[in-house]
Amino acid sequence: MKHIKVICTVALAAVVVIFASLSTDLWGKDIVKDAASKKSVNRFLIRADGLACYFCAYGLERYFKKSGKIAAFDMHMEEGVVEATLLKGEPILGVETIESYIYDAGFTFRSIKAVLVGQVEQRGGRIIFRISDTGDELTVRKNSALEKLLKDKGVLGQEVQIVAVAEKEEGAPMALVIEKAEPWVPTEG
Amino acid sequence: MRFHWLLAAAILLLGAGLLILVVGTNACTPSGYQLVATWGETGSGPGQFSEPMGIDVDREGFVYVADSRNQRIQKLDPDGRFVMQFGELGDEPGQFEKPVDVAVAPGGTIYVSDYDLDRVQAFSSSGQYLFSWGESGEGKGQFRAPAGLAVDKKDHVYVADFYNARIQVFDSKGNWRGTIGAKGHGKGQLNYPTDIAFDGAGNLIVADAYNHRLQRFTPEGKSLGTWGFRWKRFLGLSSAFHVPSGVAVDKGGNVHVADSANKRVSLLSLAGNYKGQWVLSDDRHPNVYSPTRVAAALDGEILVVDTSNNRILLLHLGKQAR
Repeated sequence: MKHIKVICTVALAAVVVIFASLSTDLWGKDIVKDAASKKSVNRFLIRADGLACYFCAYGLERYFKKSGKIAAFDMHMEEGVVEATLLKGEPILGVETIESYIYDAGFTFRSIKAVLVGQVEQRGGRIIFRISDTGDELTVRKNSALEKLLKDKGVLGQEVQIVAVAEKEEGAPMALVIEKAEPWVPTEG
Repeated sequence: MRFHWLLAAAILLLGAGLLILVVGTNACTPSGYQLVATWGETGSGPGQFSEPMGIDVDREGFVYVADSRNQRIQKLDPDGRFVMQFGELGDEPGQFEKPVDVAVAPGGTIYVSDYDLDRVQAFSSSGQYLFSWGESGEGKGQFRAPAGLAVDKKDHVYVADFYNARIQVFDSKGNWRGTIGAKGHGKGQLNYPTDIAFDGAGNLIVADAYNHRLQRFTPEGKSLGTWGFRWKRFLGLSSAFHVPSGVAVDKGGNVHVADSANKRVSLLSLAGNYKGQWVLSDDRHPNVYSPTRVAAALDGEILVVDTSNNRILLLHLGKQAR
């Protein structure tokens, strides 16, 4: 009888600990300390319906912050766009993850543009964009902007900053439709 | 043939009736308000603001502003002059991430809700940290973005729990006392509530922002009805709301509403009848919902938080409206 009581107590304690850790994962993650000094050069420009309201836009900011992967979050409410800057070295957020934050915050998702620094590489028949900061490799979908980029062979293999529409890709954070690419010149600080 | 004439006359009468209803409601009501002063500008210095969100007035007429992007509370005198500030960025006691509302209890305790940290902090009248409560979650005493605050005459603290779509009630020390409302669109239900005020009888008036209405409750949580309907805005009626995010009741019993997406302050009688409006002027951000909050000053004037333009506006209530 005594053993049963001990087992029950331990089991109950384990359940409490598991639930406590689960709730921490869901809600209690610390907002990243000194995030501003850990800003990477990679960021997302997110467009969603309803960003004109402060309470709502703050809600979106709150969900992104709690992910622990965002260094800065700037709202451009007049344009209905928010800008989420990633932390240095942090794996890139996927389109599905970003969409879930937007949905959880009560918005209707519209589009994501990724502003990333890395290299465009040709491998066989595929075009890959490798993010310098993290080494993440993303598939690039063909379009006229990409063709122009590939024609300019000096850009291939060089570090460039791209602006690309981020689309869902199975088994990867996202695929990119490049709209613009320019040689990357790092700035001080 | 005679039937056709009768039918045509009936349609004409109906049309004329509708026209009188719509035009009459919009055009013939007095404006009620007059802008008398503008306080503040964009910045982080004394008396400057960066996305001011919350406001309250203490018994002596001092004004407290939740200056959210500056992570501080500013205290202003009744003429809008800076008196003091407290708070800074952080998640330690006395620090803020996103202070979005402030409420001063009759005894002088200052309560501040933090939208990002899911907590309410209490401060002395001199801005000294006293205690806090709340954590992230959906249970009793937990929050998902505490947006609005109000303190009743018994020192109970009411918190508009934005994402949990409810009002939570606490005693003056932060002990949970009850919950009002649940998520939904029906009577007694709320959809992203943002602010709370009390009428003279102690009933709550909740800014039920995304139901586009105000909803009144007894202190025990029984719904007494709603003012404003979502569908009304499609007819262009002045009495319709579009994301009403702030509400205040003055000593004369007038209800003031920050009708944020309509970019105006609406004036209602305590019975909920539309009496007038003031439309935001010199607005540099026409696509952003503002003003967000209102408060009644002791002298009968109305303080309006114009978040997007980083300023507080002082409105005078005309005799016609009083």
